Amino acid sequence: MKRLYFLFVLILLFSIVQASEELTGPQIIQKVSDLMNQETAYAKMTLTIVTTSGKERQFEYESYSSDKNEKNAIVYTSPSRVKGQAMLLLNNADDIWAYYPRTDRVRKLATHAKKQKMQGSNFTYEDMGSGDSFITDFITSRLTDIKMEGYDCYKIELKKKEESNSNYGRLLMWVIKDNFVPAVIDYYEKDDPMVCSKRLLQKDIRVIDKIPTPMQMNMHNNLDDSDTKMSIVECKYNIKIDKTRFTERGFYR
Amino acid sequence: MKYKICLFLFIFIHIFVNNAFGEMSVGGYFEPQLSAMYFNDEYLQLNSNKLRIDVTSDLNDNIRFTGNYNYINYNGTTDWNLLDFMPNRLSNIIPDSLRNLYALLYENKDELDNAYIRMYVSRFTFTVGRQQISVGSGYAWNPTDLFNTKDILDPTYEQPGVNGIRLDAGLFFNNTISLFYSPEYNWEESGKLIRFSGTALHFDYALLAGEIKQANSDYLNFCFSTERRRMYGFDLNGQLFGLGCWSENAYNNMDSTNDFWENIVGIDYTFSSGWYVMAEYLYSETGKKKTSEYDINDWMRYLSTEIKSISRSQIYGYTLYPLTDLINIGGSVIYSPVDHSSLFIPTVEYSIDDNLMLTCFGSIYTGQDGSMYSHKMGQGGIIRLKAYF
Repeated sequence: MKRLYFLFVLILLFSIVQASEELTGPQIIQKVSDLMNQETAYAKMTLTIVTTSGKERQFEYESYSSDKNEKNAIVYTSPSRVKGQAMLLLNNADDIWAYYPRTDRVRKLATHAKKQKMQGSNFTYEDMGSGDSFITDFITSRLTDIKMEGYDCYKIELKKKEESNSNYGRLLMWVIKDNFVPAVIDYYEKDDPMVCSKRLLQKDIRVIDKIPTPMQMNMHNNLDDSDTKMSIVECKYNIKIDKTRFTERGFYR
Repeated sequence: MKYKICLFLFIFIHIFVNNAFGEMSVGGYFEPQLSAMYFNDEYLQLNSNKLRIDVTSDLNDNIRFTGNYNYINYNGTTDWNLLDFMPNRLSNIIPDSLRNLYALLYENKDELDNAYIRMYVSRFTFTVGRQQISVGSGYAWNPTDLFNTKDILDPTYEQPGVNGIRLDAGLFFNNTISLFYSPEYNWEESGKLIRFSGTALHFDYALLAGEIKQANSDYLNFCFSTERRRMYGFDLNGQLFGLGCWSENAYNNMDSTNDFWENIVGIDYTFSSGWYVMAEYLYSETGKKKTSEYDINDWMRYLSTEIKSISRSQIYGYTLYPLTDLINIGGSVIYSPVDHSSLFIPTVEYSIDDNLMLTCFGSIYTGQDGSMYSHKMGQGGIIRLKAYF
C-alpha cells in the first residue's frame, strides 16, 4: 500500500513538472501578467535613488491601480518638495495626466511622457503603469530554463512588436517557476535591442492576500551605473477603491 | 497689525492643538534668491527672501482646509523705473517731472495668498475662498485664463490666489463642468467662468466662457478705466504622430475697445534619453504688427501684465535634459517674429538634498533697441535656493 502511495505521488509530481515544462512562452507571460495585474491594488512605497556618487534621495508615494492595472494613480507623500504631486495613468499609460499642487494645475501629457523618469529614478512611468503590455506590446518566446538568483526559472525573451509604442526593444525575463514572479528583468534599448540598459531585480517575495509579492526591487542602470531601490511598505489587493481616484477630480482628494 | 496677530494665533493654535490629534499638516518653503543684472553700464543686485507657509487640515473625510501665507523681504536695488527698460524714442518724451509715475518699487510683502475650504459631496467638489485658478493647457501663455498672466521668465511658478467660489461637477462619460464666481463690487463687475471639459480619442478638450472687469489703462494721460471683457474659448490637448500637442484659443469681446483673438499652439516630445523639448506659439491681436507701432501704453500694459505680448506673435521654446540623477540642464528661449528679438534663459537645477533645490537662470536679451527683448533690458541671472519643510 505504501509503495502504491509513493508511486501515485511520484506520478503526480512528474505530471506537474511535465505540465509546467510544457508551458509555452506566451502562457508563462500570461500567468506573470495575471499575477501582476490584480483587479485592484493599493500600496505604500518608498523609492530610493542611489546615484553613482553614492548620494541617496528617498521618496514615498501611494499607488492605486484598478481594472487589472489598466488604471494607475500615484500620489507622492514625501519629501515636502514633491508632497501632493500626482500622476494618473490610464489605458496602460497611453493617457497620462500630471498634477502639481503648488500651482493646482492638471496637465495632460502625451504618451512619450511615459519615458520620463519617476523623480529622476531608474524607473520610468512605463515601468509603473503599463498593465498587460508584456502581452500586447511584445512577441514572447521561451528560452532554456535556468537557475537565477537561487530560483529555478523560466527564461523568456520578449521582442517588441512593430506597432507597439513601448520604449524597450527587447526584454529578457527570468520567471520563478514556483510562483510566476519575475526574479530578474533585463530591459534592452529600443534603438539597439542588443544593448541592455537596465536590470530589475525582485526579491523578498511574500504572500499578501494570497498573491506572491516582491517587497524589494532594485533597478540598476547599466549606462550610468546607478541604482534605484523600491520597497513596499504596505500592500493590499482586490480592495474597493473609489472610482474618482482614477479621474482628474481624484487629484484634488 | 491686529490681522497679523490673529493670523499668527490661528496658525499657532492649529499647530499646537490640532497637531496633537494629527489633523493638520504644516509645510512650505524658504526661498532666498539673488538677481544680478548688468544694466545701463551698472552692475545691480536684487535679493529677496521668501517664506511660504502651507497649512492643510482635513476637517473630516470630505472637507479640507488649505491656506498659504507668504512673507517676502527685498534688499538691494529695490527702486526701478520702467522707463529705463523702454526704447529711448518713447522714454524721452516723458518729462523728468513725470518720471516717478513710472517707478517700480519692490516692497516687502506679507499676504494671505490662498485660504480656502474644499468640500467633496458625491460628484461635486466645492471650493470656497481665495484659491489658485489654473486654466488652459498652454505652458507659457494661457489665453483662456482671465485671472492670471504667467511670468514668461518662470511660467510654472505658483499663481496668486483669486477670491471666489468654485464648483466642479462630474458628469456623464468623465466630463466635468466647472463654475467659478469671483465677487467684486456688483454682479456685472464680478469675474465669472464656466468650463466644460472631458476626454475623447486621447485628447482632453474644454469649452469655456467667462467675463471679468478688465483694466484699460492710459499711461500717458494716467486715466485708469475698466471695461467688461467676455471671453469664449476652447482648449485641446493630446497627441498627433507621437508628438504631444495642444491648442488654446480665446475670442474676447470688449465693451469699449476692439475685440481680439488670442491663440496658442504647442508641441512637445521626450526622447528615450529623457531629453524633453517643447515649443509654443502665441498669436495675440492685442499685440502690434510692427516695431514702430509699439507705444508707451503697450509697454506699460505688458509690464503690468494687462496684456500678454507687445508684438503680435511670439514663440517660446523650452528644453530640459537630466544630466545626472540630481542635475537637470536646459533652458528656454522666447522669440518675437515681429521685431526679431529674443531672450535666452539657460537653466541648471541641482537637487542638493531631498528638500533643497538650487536653480540658476540666466537672462540674455539679444534684440535691438526698441524691440521686445532688447539688449537694453540688461543681461543677468538669478540664483535661487529653495528649502522645503
